[in-house]
Amino acid sequence: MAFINKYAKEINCKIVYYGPGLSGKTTNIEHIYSKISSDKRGKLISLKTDTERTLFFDFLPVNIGKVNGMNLRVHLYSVPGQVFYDASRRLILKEVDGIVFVVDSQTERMDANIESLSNLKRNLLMNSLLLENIPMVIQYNKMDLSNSMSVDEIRSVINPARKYQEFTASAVKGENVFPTFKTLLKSIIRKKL
Amino acid sequence: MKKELTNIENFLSEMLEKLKLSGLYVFNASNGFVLSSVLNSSEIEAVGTLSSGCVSALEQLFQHFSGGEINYQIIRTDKEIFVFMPLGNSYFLAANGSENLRPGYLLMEMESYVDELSAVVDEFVKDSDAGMTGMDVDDISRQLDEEFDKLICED
Repeated sequence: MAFINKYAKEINCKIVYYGPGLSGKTTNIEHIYSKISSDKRGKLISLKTDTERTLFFDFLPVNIGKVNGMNLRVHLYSVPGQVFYDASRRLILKEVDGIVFVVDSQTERMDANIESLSNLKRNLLMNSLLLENIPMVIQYNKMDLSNSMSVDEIRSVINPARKYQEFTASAVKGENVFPTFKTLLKSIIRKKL
Repeated sequence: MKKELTNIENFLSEMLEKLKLSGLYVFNASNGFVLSSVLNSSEIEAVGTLSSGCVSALEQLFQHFSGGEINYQIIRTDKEIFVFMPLGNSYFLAANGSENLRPGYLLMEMESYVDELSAVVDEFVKDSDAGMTGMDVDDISRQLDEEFDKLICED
């Protein structure tokens, strides 16, 4: 849970990028890393396999700046999307403050998106957390590809009640990466107020 | 301007000096956030980053602590010695110092502080996590927009 340290004048919070394998979670974090000046962020820690798949997690600390006179520090994590790294995903979700659910908008990845969302709920429950109580933003990534589904089609499955704020994106081009991040951060702060 | 020390920092500073350590840190075991720290040198940002990146290792270690399987962990490198021990149910105490320190004595000395430090940490957390009451949502939102504008550098 976000911790407000009034002595150090700091707010710390943890954001996790979740979604199926190859949906673009790491690409989101890499884009953020590449666009933030080095004095505002730490090192990007990334453990990958030889084939560039996330092995354990990506981690990027970002110092957003001052909000109400307090330094806002955000720790960004992405989980490994591959099915067999479930224990790692569960671990990384501990004490999460907000989630970006990165959807792979390609038609053939719809089942993987549904399974990943279900997996997210299950893993949160195992950490005694309910998705309903955690701010989440949905990002429909890879919308620039020719085989992507329409937003309406994906939404009808992933976000039918439009409960969560959503963005179409192309993380590889950096489109809507920061708006997704910022919107989630605002939701987290709003929840804490 | 001299930074005003909190109780927990006073406590850690005193401990650092008496035990001749290079650094002392209190971490949240679940998310790796640094709750408080004192250092003889180095930069806190680097410490926070490194430790949070190692959150999984810390978590595993804490599970061993919680399960009562081990009570401490000592790691020795070419130049330094590191000691980890649990502080209550949610926090870690980590210390590093010169390789010349004798681990057995260091451990014994650290253990003598743990109960009192746990109480200080509990009080600090309770007192410090003040919440964000009284803030205006629209104002916070505007401040975040401004900070994000400054954050992104197009190059």
